[in-house]
Parts: sequence; C-alpha cells; structure tokens
Amino acid sequence: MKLWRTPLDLDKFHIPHGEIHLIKNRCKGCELCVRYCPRDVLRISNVMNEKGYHLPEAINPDRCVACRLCELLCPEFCIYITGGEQP
Amino acid sequence: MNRDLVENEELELAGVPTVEEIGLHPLDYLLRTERLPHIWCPGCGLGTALSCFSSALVRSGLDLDKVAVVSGIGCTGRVAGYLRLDGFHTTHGRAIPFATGLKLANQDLKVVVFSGDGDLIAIGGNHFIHAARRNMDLTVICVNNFNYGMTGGQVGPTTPSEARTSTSPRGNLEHPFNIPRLAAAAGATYVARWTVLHARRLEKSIHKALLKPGFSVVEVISPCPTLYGRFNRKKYGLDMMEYYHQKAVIRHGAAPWEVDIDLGGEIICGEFVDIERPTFQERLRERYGELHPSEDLGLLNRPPVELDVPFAAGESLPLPAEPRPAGGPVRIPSEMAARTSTEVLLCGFGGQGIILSGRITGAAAALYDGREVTLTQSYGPESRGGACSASLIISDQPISYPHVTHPHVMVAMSQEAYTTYRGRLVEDGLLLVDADLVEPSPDDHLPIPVPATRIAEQELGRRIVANIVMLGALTALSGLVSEEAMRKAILDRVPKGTEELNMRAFEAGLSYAAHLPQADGASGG
Repeated sequence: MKLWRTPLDLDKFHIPHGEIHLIKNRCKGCELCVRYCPRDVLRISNVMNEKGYHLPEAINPDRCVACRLCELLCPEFCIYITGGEQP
Repeated sequence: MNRDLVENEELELAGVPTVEEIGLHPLDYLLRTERLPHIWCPGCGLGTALSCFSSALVRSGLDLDKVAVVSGIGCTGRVAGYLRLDGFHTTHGRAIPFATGLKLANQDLKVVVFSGDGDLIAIGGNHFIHAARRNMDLTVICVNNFNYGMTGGQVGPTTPSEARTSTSPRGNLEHPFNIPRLAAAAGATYVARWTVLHARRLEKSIHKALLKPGFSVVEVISPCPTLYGRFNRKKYGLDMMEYYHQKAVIRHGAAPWEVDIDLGGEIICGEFVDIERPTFQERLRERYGELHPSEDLGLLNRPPVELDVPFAAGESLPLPAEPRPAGGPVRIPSEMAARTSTEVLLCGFGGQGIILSGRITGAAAALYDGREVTLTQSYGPESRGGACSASLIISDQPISYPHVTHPHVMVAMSQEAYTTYRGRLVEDGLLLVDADLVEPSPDDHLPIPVPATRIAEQELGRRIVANIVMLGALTALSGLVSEEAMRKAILDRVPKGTEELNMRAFEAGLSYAAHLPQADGASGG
C-alpha cells in the first residue's frame, strides 16, 4: 500500500511481521494462499513435493504482516505463520 | 544421467522454510495428523471448513473433552475421523439422530454435527427438520457442495436448477432446497450461510453457533472442483473461489425465502436467523428437574466393555499393516521364467491416469494385438491423490486367474507405490519410475527413471498427459504391445479433442525411451 503522506501517529503503531512455514508433503497445490494473500507475498515455485504438486514460495517475505489468512484458508493444514505478536 | 537432472532441479524455496515434522501447525493438536494429508481433492473447500471449525472451537473456549463431533457419510463424513476429539462416523443420513441420542444421554456434552448436504438434507432430511422442530441443542455444520461428491457427482437436492452433474448432463430440471429457509421454517434458532472464502466470518459464525443454545445451523458453501466444478466449467478450486468472490453478497438478516441459490446468480451470505426459543433440554428440565439418564441408569458406573481388539485408551484405531519394505526382488522358479504370459503392474496415485493407462494397454494388447488380457484395478474412495493401481496379465493362452502376484513389468508413478510394490517385482523385471516423484532406494539398480510428469508439464504444457508419456516409454522399453496397437488404443480411449495432445505425449515417451542408453538390455517383456 502506498501512503500519500506519512500518518502523524504512525509511530504509535507496530506493524507485525510473520514468518511463513510450510509442511511440504501436505501441500496439494490449490494456490489459495497465493491468490488470496492480501500482501502478495507468495507465488507458485518450480519445486515439487513428493506427490508432484508445486509448492508456494515467498517472493517478498518481508511484507508478511502475520494476518494468517493463508493459515485459515489452507485446506491442507500445510502453511502456517509464526511471530507477529504485539510487543 | 537422469538423477543428475533431478538434482539440478532441486531448487530451494525462497523465503519459506519447509518442515517434515508434524505437530508444528498450530491446529495439529486438534487433528489426527497420522491421517494427513487428508483424502480431499486439491481445491476442495472441506479442508478450509475444517480449519475454520477447529479455529472457532479453540476460540470458543469449550472444554474439548466435552465436545463430540458426529458425521454421516460422504466426503464431509470424513471430518469426524480427522479431528482428535470424540467423534462418530454414522450411517448415511443418521448423524442427527445419533447426535440427539448422545445429547439426551449426556447433557453436558457439546454435540456438533458436521456433514454434507447429501447426508443431512437428502437422506437425512426428515431428521434435520424434526431436530430443528424440537429445537434439540445441537450445532449443525452443513457443507453444501451442490452434488454427491464421493459417489461420482450425481444430482442432489441442493443442485441448482439447470446445473450440470453426472446424472443431469443437460441441466437439472428440479428446484433445489434452500437450506437456510428449510432450517428457519422448521424452527432453528440460529441460521447462517457462508462460503469457505469468507473464512474469517465463517469462523466467527461457527463460534457463535457453538455457543448458541438450541438448534443452530451454519451452511458452508464449498467448492467441489473435481465433480460439480468440472461439469460447470469451473474445474479448479481457485475458479470456484473466484466465482464466490464475484457473486457472494453479505446481507445479514435477509429473509430466508429470499436467499435461493440460482446457477450464475448471487450467493447471499450472512446471519439470517438469531432467535431465542426454549430448547428441548430446557423443557425437559422444566418438567422433570435435572435429569442425567446415563447416571440414573447407572451407565457411567458400569465397568468398561472388553473389546475384542484391544487398544489403549487415547490411541487411535489400529492402522493397516506396514507397507512392504523395499526389499530384494522375489526369486521365482525357473520354469515360470520361460513364460508366455506377462504380469504388469501400473501404480501411482489417483488423478495420474493410472487406470486409464491400464485400460489403454489392455485394449491395445487384446483388440489390436489379438492377445489374451485381464485387467484388475484398485483405488481408494478419494477422487484425487489416493493410492491407485492397475494390474494386467497379457498372455498367449486363456488366463484362468487374473490376480497379479509377482509382476514382470512395473511402472511406479509415486513414492508410495514404489515403496509398497517394489518387493513384488521379479528379479529381472522391468521397472519404470517417474524421475521426479520417485526416489528409489540407493542399492536398487533396476529402476529406469522417466521424467514423465516433467515432460508432460514442460514440453507438452499439460501434466495430465504424464501417463501417456509413461506409456510411450513403456511401449518402447518393454515391447509388450506394438506401437501401432497402442496408438489406436490411445485414440480410442482419450477424451475427444485431446487426441493430438495425447499422440504428441506418446511420441515424446517413445523418443525419450529410444534415447536411453539402457534401452537395449533392460527389456522384460
């Protein structure tokens, strides 16, 4: 998101940051995490798991704000986020 | 040489550490992780519905020892088996009566019925309306995928008018049930509908339904890309999710009779009913005071029943026996080696076209080469991803016993298939494996890696033809069936409009095998 000005109270907010993890062999390549990530963090990679599904990878992991939508949407209990707690 | 290629392809995932261990996902403690990955197809919404339910259950703060999940039959019926909670997988349509009994006997339990539209609204329709009428204290999560998924995509009571299914190929003539209207009219106290794409709202709604006294119903609209989607031009889960994204509107408090789902029309979501009505349990207490039938009948103090199959409390049901280890090949008597018949085993997982490969090979040998053939097939209830195999016997004499015990030729398209069946192959057999999906054990020198999936994906652009690429390689290496017969059989049996693609796949497999250095000595046919 582009800010057209810096909000005056920006320093009052802590932007959380999440770490993405993947349980490789659960993925079935449905791409829901890639399509519905609100921060466009993920994309489909060339790496396949043992069932031949292409795994997601993070193109800009720094943008992850730990909203955990991927974790909730993932039908396979495959992708999950750690971190992101408020200080 | 192919192994090198594979190793070069081993790319690191950028920014995402992968783990092999289970128990790390925050919801893993609620799941029977030994059964994951689950049997649901890629793109199916059931996993998301389960994830929202588990998440809501954690948030609700209910004592997990006092929660029971009851499911009926169907894909959704599997939910009770994946949750590490007290659960019961009942007979078709009888989830609600079972749950009613459970709740009446043990009123401290929170009983959740998690089942599909075909189970709750079709065969279990009467139980559904009468439990709502009585206002039994149950939470019903009804996953609606608009068709009977597990049995092959037949038309069901929730299939929208004009929608195509396997039994309504020209469009459904009937009007569907509107589940919120049915539930509200019968007397449910809480009725909501969400699609699985509304994951957060669905989670909150389930949370609310769990804490609501009385008969609470949450309808979850979920994609069935393999069947309903495929017949209605949305064959990937993502396509169906996009459709929900475009068509879903949220209208809280909308009149339930206005929320019908039409094909191509908007899907109205939201909370439609949230009322107070005395529950069956409350009225029971009013008249008879505190009742605990299980205590009154002394059921709780009875010694536990001895089971025939002992397993410790808390342990899951005994799992099937360990797969056969990839041991040395089986030695067969020499007279069998001078054979006129060849046993062939094609194995992999559902969705790879293993069975179709078996049919094509069988048809080529029987119809165009004029030999005797038997074909037996085995697959799980899953439409995609389960273990699957096709066993062929190709012979010059009539075949009296169709079971393949020690195959002479084997094609393994998945690691699981390789591990399970490798030990059965005869010593000098021919073994083809998919180079990217199977990692043979290091001391096994028999496998010939064929990168069928990669050729299909990168050279031909459609991974579904990997099986035909593999058939090409098999034809060239085994000499079991003539190339001409295979070409005819493929053209006969692949879907219309894909003949040219499949022919290119077959040629790609043939030419890959022709350029292999092993091609001369490895023939097993």
